[in-house]
Amino acid sequence: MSLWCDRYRPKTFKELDYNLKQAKQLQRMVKEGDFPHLLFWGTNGAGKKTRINCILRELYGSGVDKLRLERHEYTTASNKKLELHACASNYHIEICPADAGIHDRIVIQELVKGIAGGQSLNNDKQKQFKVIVITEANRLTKDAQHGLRRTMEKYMSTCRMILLSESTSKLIPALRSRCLGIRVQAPSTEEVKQCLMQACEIERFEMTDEQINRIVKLSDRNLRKALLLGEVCKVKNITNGDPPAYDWEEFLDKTGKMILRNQSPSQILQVRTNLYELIVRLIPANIIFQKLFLQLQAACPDIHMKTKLAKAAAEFEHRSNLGSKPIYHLEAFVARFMADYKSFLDEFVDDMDEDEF
Amino acid sequence: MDIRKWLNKGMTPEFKAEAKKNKKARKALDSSDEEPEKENPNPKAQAKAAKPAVEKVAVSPKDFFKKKNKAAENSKKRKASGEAELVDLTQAPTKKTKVSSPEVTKRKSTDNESQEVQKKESPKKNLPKPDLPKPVEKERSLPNVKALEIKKNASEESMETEAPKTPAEIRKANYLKFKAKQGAGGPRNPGSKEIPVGAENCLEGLTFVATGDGDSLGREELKSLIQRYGGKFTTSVSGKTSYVVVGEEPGQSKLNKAKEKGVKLVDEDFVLELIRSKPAKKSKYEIQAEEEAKQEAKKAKKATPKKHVSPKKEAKKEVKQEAKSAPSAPTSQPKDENANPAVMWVEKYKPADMKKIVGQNGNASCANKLLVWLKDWEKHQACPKGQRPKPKFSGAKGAIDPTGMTFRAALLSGPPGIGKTTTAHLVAKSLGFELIEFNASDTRNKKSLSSVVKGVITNSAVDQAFRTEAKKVVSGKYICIMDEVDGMAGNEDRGGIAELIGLIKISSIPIICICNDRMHPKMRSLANYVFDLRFMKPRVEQITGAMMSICFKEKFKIAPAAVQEIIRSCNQDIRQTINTLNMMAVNKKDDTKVEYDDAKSTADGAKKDLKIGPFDALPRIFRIDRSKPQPQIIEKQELFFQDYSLMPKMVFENYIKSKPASISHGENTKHLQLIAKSASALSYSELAERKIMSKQAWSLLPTVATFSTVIPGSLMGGGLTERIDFPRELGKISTTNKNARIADQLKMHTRLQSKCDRWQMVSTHGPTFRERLSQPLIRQTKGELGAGEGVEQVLQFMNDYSLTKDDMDNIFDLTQWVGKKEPLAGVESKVKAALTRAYNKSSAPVPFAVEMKVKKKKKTANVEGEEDEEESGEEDEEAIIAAMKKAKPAKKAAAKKAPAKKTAAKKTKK
Repeated sequence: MSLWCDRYRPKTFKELDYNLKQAKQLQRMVKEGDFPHLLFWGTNGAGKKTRINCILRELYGSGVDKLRLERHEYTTASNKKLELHACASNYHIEICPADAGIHDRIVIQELVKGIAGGQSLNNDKQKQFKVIVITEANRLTKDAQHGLRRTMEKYMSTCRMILLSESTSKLIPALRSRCLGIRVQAPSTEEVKQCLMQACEIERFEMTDEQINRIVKLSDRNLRKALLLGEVCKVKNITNGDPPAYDWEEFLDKTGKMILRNQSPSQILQVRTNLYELIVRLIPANIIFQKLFLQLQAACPDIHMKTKLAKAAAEFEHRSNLGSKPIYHLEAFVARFMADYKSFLDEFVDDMDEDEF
Repeated sequence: MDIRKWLNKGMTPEFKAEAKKNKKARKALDSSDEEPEKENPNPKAQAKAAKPAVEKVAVSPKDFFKKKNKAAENSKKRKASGEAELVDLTQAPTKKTKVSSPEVTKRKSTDNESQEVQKKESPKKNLPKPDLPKPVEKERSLPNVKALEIKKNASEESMETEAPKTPAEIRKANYLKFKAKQGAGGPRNPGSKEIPVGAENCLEGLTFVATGDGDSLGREELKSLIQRYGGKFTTSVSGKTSYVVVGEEPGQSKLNKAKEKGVKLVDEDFVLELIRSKPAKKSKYEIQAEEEAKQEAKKAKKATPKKHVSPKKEAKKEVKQEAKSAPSAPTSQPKDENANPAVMWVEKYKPADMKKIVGQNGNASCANKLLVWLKDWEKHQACPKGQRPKPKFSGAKGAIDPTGMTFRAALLSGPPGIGKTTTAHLVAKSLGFELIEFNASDTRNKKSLSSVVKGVITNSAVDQAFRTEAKKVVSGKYICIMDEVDGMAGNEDRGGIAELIGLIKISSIPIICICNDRMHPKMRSLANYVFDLRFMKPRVEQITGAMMSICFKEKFKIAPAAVQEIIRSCNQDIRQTINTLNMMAVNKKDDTKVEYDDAKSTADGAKKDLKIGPFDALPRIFRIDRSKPQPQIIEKQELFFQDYSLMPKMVFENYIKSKPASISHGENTKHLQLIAKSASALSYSELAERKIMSKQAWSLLPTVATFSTVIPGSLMGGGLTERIDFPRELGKISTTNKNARIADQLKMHTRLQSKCDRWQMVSTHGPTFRERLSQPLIRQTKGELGAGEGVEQVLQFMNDYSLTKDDMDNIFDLTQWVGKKEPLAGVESKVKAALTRAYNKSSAPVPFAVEMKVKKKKKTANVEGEEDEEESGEEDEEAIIAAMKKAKPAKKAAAKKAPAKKTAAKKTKK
């Protein structure tokens, strides 16, 4: 019994539940027979991959569902042999070069080029090209992205690339211009609710309307998250009540509260311990920044304080993107906020006293 | 208005309580009619206040409030002690720390301190210290000490009245004092007293100990002043101490000890007076050196009719005379050094006989121990194994073997330049051994050791056979000296240590190993097979004699105090000292005498080149040297370059623990602002570091130095208040990499069914997997699911997603957060066992086959890992050595923790 989000994933354009107008356009595009390289972008759980699967299905038929894992070996500049796993059918290959870390350029140059340059399949009943899906394109290093540029143009006749990214901001303009950008809009809360209720119906799991609303609210228009939360409720047999929050979210929330509770040097040290924990648990720095910012700004009563906070968050998040060790920038953000907040509170108390005496 | 609403609604209870307290305090203050002391918060106002007439300065209400608080404190203290002066004394240092920024280092001129300014103008008038009258009489011989006796009594009295009862309390009080002093130390009125010019060497033979802050002289200044005039400055009181120089807030234990030993207590004025009044003295070192030369000259006359003989030759003569008992004393040095002035002093004055080795003369010295051991070596070790002496054991102490007779080899260890190699050579020579030496310039890997050395060590007879009859008599004894064994590292010398141990076991001749770092992990295995002789740095005085003798022979005029300064700057390294002296002599053109100050400048130059570890460098980064202009950019940059890769990490780990000197107690907001600025600077430094790494832009290194070390060091400077920690960052990075690998592996294993990226695996899929894998088991335990049903569900799920048992554990690990329940906490072990059994039976095919390969690599990697641990410094992204890494950080951490603890321990001892 696989997870709900996998089991109820639509396989064809007909089964899609939302963004139907876009789906039709995509379907038409594929039917035309040829299309440019594509860049799918949109938030998590919006249905990017589902739409890519639909395209593949439309292109090649049910053969694309017969997947296998392929192991590819490649040699780095320092003569190390590393391997990368790709998910492939006879017609397409899905690969995540970003897994190779700083060696992703080699993966692009060697593997993708190799696959793209290879002979196309028997021409009689299939298309002339195969499809290379590159996931997590936003994690590609600049070098790798530049390596991809030329490959995309050169092997246009034998392959199409579909890039998947959360946002376009981390892709170089050269890549963006070579692809047809398709933004997959996240489903509205109503649509999320509909999907979740459908799934619950099939699963014969009954939740109160209130709880469904809560899950939908918690999922923040992320359909995958909504389905997974619903499933957790079923597994834990919670039919009416709060769906359990994820531990990492709870932890992050706790960290934010620590920052607000007390502003002192020793508190910064304790917050650092928590931040380390989050980083070690692979919570990306931008998520930490985002969540902390939302939490802290909600606690700021003053618009000036809010602007200060937003400025600090933007500044240090930017730095953290440029740098490689997020802890430095996170701590700088926390320290800045604490200092501002403390002086704000001090002034505030002074004002209050003047009024009273 | 909405602010107020928010406050009433959302303020934390702690905060409310604090606000209330503040209000109460203020009310109390308002009611009291105590006139608050003046204190000007901003620098502009200070400038104005410098004029004595200024009485009232506009002050913001906030600052006014603070002032009142302080005034209340002061008044309380005053009541408690009843002595206004005492309060003044204790206030002085804290006031100094209130200087807000480095630019404004001038003292604040409060009412109190404007008085001091006046005093400054007339230093002769001396400070109004009612309990400490100045020594009035200026007799030629020695200043009157009576007045100081009074002071001693006074301090004793105060001790009796104020001293807490139990030792624990005393310790606590001392600690608090120490804490208070940190970052706020230094003399009260630097430069307020004229420093007299005394006669040369007038303090020789006197030993001083300082306690508390001096009035005008800092600790360092006092030390350098005393050393300039040949006096000795130590840190603890002993019977040999002549005077204890008492300043403000003296340490209790030192006073007690001085009382116990009957050492005189004096103040710094006394020291200055002493310098002014004492007559010059000829240094004993100079006298000694001259005598020595005279004696040698006499001997030379007796031995040879020649009139002019070089001192070196003399030395050689001596050797011959003294070494008569030994079978042979080869003299390998060139015969006439004077003809060849280019010979370095180090070579020229190399000790030619055991008695000349500095600091190795006594019976208990390492040289003597080595001599005894080597003398008896043949007796003890040349026989078959069974007849060799066995170590005696005694209880907890283990084997007792002071003469080392159970060992077949010796290991001499100690810092460089103190004569280890020389000792080994001389001891061997004096016993008539022939030397076979191997040092770092020879390849010493397993192969070459066994082929070359083994041949020599195991059969000396081959050599004998080819000798002529006459030579055979001379010697049949060989000794092997393995110099610089801690240098047996890297690929060249692989397996060298193990082979060396093997050689020691079978050798028919004694082996002497020499190394610098006895505690090096590479030496650990060797240590079990050798007689451990640890060479200590000789004392400064011991070296001084020998150095003066050399200088005298070379007709290089230098003051003993100057020599001592050079020795200290060389860290008691004899070789380096001689080299420095040599260079000074070569560079000097005229015939003038080198004085203390010249040497001091040379020595300071040499000190810069001294390598210091990160744990020593860090406190210096956060130290504020008041005697020098701020901010000390170059000095702090130098510290960064001691280890440019580690220092930013060290600073980041520890900068918050420093208490800035520029803020006073209670200024939390200001403190946080400083931290925020430092943190931002560190974040910039990280960006620059990243640029260096990705673009090889090494020219950015000074930028990193400024942002990572200079700025935080200057902002937060004041003194570290807690233990220095080794950066956690390194460990965290490797754990992060490990987790990333696990997540990627899970992602790969479940790829065919569920397409999620790494972040989704961590944030949403992982936790759901966790529930799907654990809940059925929990429910089966609870009885909600039938027997075996839960296990079946889990197994089914694992099959669907091609998860292995390892993956299951990995998922649980990855999603386990601090303070959360273990996923299988409520599951009976019976159920767990059932799952394992069922899993082993099922053997469902998986679409990947990497597990075995990884395991294989892990094994081979581990074997290699033992050999080259030091190469593992860098984190590498390689996925294959994944498993190896798991073990490594632990090892690394252990190794790194050890030095950390050591330094910590040292500090507490100090």
